[in-house]
Amino acid sequence: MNIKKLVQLCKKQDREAQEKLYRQYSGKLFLMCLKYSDDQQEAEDTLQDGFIKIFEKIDSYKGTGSFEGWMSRIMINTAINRQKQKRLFLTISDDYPEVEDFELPTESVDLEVLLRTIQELPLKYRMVFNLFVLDGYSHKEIAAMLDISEGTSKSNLSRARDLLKKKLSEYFRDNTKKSL
Amino acid sequence: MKNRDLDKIYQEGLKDQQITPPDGTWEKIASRLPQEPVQRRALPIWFPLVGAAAVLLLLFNIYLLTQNSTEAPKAVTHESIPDTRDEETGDHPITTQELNQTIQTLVADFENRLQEANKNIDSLKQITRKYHTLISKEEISQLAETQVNERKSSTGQTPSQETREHLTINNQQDHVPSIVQSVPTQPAGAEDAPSTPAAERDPEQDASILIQEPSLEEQLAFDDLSDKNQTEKKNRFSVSTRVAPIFFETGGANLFDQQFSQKKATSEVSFAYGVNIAYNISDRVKLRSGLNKVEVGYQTQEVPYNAAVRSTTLDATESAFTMSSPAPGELNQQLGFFEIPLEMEYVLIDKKFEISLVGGASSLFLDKNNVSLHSSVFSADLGEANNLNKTSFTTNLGFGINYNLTQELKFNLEPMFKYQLNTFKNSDVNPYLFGIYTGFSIHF
Repeated sequence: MNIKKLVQLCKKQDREAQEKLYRQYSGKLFLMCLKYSDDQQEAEDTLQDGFIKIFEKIDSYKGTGSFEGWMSRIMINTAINRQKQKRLFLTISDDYPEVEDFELPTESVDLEVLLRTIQELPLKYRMVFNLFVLDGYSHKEIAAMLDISEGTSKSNLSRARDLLKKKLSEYFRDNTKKSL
Repeated sequence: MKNRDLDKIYQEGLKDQQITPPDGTWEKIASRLPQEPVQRRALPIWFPLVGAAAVLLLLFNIYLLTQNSTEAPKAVTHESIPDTRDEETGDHPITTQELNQTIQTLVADFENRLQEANKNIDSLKQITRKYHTLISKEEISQLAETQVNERKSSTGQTPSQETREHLTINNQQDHVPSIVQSVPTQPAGAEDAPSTPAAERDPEQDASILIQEPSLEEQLAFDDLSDKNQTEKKNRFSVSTRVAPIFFETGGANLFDQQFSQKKATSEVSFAYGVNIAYNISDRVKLRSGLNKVEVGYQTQEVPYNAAVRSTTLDATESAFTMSSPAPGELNQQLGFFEIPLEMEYVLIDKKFEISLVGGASSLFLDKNNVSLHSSVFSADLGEANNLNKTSFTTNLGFGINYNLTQELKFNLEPMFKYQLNTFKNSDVNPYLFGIYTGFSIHF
């Protein structure tokens, strides 16, 4: 069944079609939720909330853009709203050490490591990094979504990158030690 | 390490990756989703009809039941149910058991009837489809507009109410209020019966669910169906009587002879009468024909004439002489035609007052042709005029104002202009008739 037909049926709140849609896209969207969440449990909650929103608002999808993109935006917004509710944006300290430079490893990094390093980022850095680097939003859009200024978005991105570099370098150092 | 490289590690590492959420997540989502609504596809346009019909049937049955139980209690209790009634409480003779049983039979009966109704409605559906193919999209949108307006104006009347009104059968109509009243006056024991409220309520609830929120398209189609049903009932044929004063104008020329063109000529107001039949080709277009008798009178005045007497020879004189007395007289031409019109009528406004445009042609068959001379002292029949064609034609144009007295009876008023094409052999004379036709038409 093609996606158009599936969406049509979902608009009629056809339960079977809803499940099909879930089975088809839950893997990608769960990864997205993990990226924006502190941990797996939070990602699961976000995924549930996001899918319910998708089914509730599916009538507003006019078929102009990609349906996957539309679902992703709903999922991201759900994740952001969840974090906003936690009101954690204000409680992060800005005290982070300088990062030593290191060489880019040749081997690819495990998905698990990538996800873990993102999840370990303080919330406001994680959000900006995800939105800007992974999901292609501009600083202007991010500023509007997170209720921050564009400048903050840019500086948060810079901090996020520094922290990720540090984490990755640690990861590679540990890896090298293990392999030795 | 450059930012670009870092971004690349994450972008490529996460690209097209999936992580399956834990089992049971879908079940959690599904449990939070609202209950699956009644699917609209399963609600064809005729469903509200069935629902409303079912409710009516049920109410009617309950009514019959209460009638039986109050008027002839024995009729209910003769079945092999132990008679536990208290004889003194004759007003409330039905026991809980009895009521349960009768309601069960009612429900079964209701289901049977519902099935029958379904079959009937299927054929209705087919008719609707045919109409849908027949009527153009403009008509649909017109219909939609007028109906939306009607909706707006009729305050508080829901589709379901309308539906029920459409469906109310004449002979049941009077009973319905009494049914509604009679239900609460069930005996006190009956209120405890669990199936009583269920049997009464469920079909109505179902019906209200069914009637709930039909999509615009469905509503349209449904309204269309009911409208078309009315149209079908709407009478296609009509017969009308008509009578009209006729004004005959010659346009300055003298019909009798050109030599009289300087003479003063008048036409008397005469009458046309007849019977017309009309067939409704569509809601707006009618094809009409009929048979009319048209009488026309035409006078040319101050025509000099000599009344000649037979020449008389007088005894006193040898010579014979003729007595003659020239005098002015009036030349009177009487014409009569049988008219068979063939006209199209296009209805412009279709309300209580109907206004329509009428155009067409008539064949005239000469029936009466008489010329006579009149003076104060003298009258003479001069025979037939020979400048008239036996068969001639008119082109007709006019408009009709109809007032609907009832669905079947209309009062008609039609000013009509009929231009005569070849009534007279002298082709330069093309007189016309103007008549104001009035009459009543019966539609069937």
